[in-house]
Amino acid sequence: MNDSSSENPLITRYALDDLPVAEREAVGEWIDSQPGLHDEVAEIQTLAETLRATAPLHDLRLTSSQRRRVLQPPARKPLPAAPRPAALRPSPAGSLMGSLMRIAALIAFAFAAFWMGRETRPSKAEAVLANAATAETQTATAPAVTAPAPLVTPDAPSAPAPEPQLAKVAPSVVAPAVETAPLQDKPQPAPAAVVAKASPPVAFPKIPSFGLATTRADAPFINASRSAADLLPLHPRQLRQPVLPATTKLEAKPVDPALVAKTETPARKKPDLYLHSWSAEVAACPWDSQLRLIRVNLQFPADQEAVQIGDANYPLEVTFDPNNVRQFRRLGTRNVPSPEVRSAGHQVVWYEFRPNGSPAAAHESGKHIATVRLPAARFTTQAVGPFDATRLQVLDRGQDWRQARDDFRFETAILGLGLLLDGGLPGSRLDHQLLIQVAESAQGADPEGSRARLVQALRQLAQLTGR
Amino acid sequence: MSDQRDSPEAHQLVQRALHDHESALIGYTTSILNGDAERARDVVQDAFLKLWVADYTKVQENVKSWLYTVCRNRALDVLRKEQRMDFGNEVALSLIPSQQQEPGHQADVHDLADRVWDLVESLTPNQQEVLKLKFQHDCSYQEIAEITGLSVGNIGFILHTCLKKLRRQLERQLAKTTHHPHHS
Repeated sequence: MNDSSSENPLITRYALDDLPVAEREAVGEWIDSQPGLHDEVAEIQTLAETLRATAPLHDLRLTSSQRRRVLQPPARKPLPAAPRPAALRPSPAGSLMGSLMRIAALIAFAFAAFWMGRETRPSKAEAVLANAATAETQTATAPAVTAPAPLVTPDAPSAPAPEPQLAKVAPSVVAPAVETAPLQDKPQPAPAAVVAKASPPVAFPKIPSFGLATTRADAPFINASRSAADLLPLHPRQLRQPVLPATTKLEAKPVDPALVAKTETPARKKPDLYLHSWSAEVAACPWDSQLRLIRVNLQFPADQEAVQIGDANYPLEVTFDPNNVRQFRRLGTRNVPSPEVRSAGHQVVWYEFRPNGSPAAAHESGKHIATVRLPAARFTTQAVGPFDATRLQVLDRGQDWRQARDDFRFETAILGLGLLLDGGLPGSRLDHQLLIQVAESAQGADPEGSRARLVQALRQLAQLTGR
Repeated sequence: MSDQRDSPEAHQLVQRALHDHESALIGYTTSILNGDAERARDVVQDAFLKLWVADYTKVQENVKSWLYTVCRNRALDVLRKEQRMDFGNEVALSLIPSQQQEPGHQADVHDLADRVWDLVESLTPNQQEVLKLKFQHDCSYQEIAEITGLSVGNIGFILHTCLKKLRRQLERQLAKTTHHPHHS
C-alpha cells in the first residue's frame, strides 16, 4: 500500500464497504494516515449513494405461462444415444497380419478350454452335490430376482450375509429406511436384504405452529431504495376452517348432459374482499438490536363471497419508505381461520427491516416506515374522518419489544423458533433462552393454553439441544 | 438414483430465487439484449429451468451470481447468433467508448444527481456492466467477478476508474451550469 495517491482502487473498495474485515482495518489505517483521502472516500460514498438511490427500478416480470413453467420441474428428457465411435480404417498392410493373429488366438483359446475342461471335470458324486447346491442357491436368490434390487446398509456386516428379515418386521412399524449397498470387492454368497435398524424413539417435543409460516432464515434482505414494494397474495379461502371430508359414501349416478349444460354458470367476476379492520405495530427485534419488526394484522369476515371462491387471491401491497428503511424482508405469515361462519378470520404478515439511522431512537410522532394497500378490498364499516382508508400507514415510534402487545411478543417467539429451526441467525442473539424469555413475557391470560404449550416446547428444545 | 428435481430443496431454491431475482435478472438481461425485454424473459426462463437440473448443493451458496452468469452467457449467445455483436474482438469492443452523445450537458444544477445514470451511458460497455451490477443489482466485487469472468482486482480497477470518470463529468456539468445558468 505504498501508493499514497488517490489512484489506488482499494480506496473505492473501502468506500463501498466491500473489503474483508482484516483488510478493511488495514486500509482504514492507511487512509487515516494520508491527508485528503478521507474527502476522497466521502465523495465516492456520496456518488455511490446517489447511484443506488436513483438506479432504475426493475419491474419486469415473467409472463404467467413462463412463471408456471419455471415453477414446475422440467420434464426428464431421454438420454441421447451415445455417439458411435468413428470406424477406423484398417491399413492394407496390417489386415493380413491381423487375420493371422486372430486365427492363432482362436485356436489357442479352444485348446486351452479343452485342456482345462479335462482337468477340472467333476466326479459323479461331486456333480450331484453341485447340482443340489445350485438348486439351493437358486431357491435362495429367487425373491431377489423378482423383488427390487437388494439393498444393504453401509454399516451392515459384510460376511456372512444375514438372512432377510423383512418378514420379522411387525406391520405396524414405520417403513424402515433401506439404503443402497456400497460396491464390494468380494462377491457375496447371497444377496442380502437387510433392513436398517429402527432407531429408538427420541422424545422430540411436538412444536405447535399456530398457523404461522416463517421464511427461510437465510432469506436475503431487499434494498428498499431499489425495490420498495412487496406483493403478497392473500387467499380468503383460508379464512374458513377446512371442512372435514364426509365419511359416508356417495353413490355415483349418471348425469344428464343436457341438465349439466343448463346448470353451467358463466365465470363469475372476482368479488370485492371485505375487510373489518387492519392495524400495524412496530417494535424492536429481540434478537438483533439493528433490526425492527412489523406486524400487519388484517381482520376479515368469514361469511363473504370472496371466501367461497376457490382460488381467488387478492394482492396485499406493502411499500416501504426508502427514506427511513434501508432493507427489509418478509419474515412470515400467519393465517387464523374463523372458528365459525359468523365470526372473523385473521391474516397476519410479519416483516423485519433495517432502518436508516439509529434503530433505537424514539420518535414521538412516528417515523413513516411503510404503506399497506389492499386494492380490491372494501371496509365493512364506513370510514369516518378525513384520513385515507384505502392505505394503512405504518409508523415506528421507537417501541421496544417488551412494550409491544402480548400477541405481538407471542408471535415473535414463534417466528424466532421458526428461524432457529431453520439454522438460526449467525451473529444474532437468537437462541432458545431468549425465545423462552419472549414467550414467557407474552403468556397473558392464555385461555386455550397455547402459549404455555409454546413455552413448554421451547424448554424441551433447549434441553434437547443443550442451549 | 433419485432425481434432485423431485427434492423439496430444489423446489425451495427455485421458488426463492424466482422471488428474489426475477425482476433484476430480466432488467439485467434486457440491458445486454439492447432493450429486448421479451427475449430477456425467455433467457431468464431458461436460466430458471437450468436451475432445476443444477446441483443445488453447489448452487445454493451463490445462486445469485450463478443465475446472472447463466443469463449473461445465454444473452451473449443470442446476440452472437443474431450477429448483433462482433465477438471476434470483444476486448477491443469493450474499449471503445459509447457512441452516444454525452447526455446531461443541459442538466440543471438541481437535477444533476438525477441524471447520474444518464452519464453512465457514456462509459464503455464493460464499465457500464460492472457499474450496473454493483449499484443496480447490489452485487459484491466477488459476485461481479464470478458473473463476468474477470478477477476481483480487475473489477476493483474498473469500478475505481468509472466512478472517477463519473465524478469528473459531474464536476464538469456542474461548472458548466454554474457559468451558464440560463442556458438550461
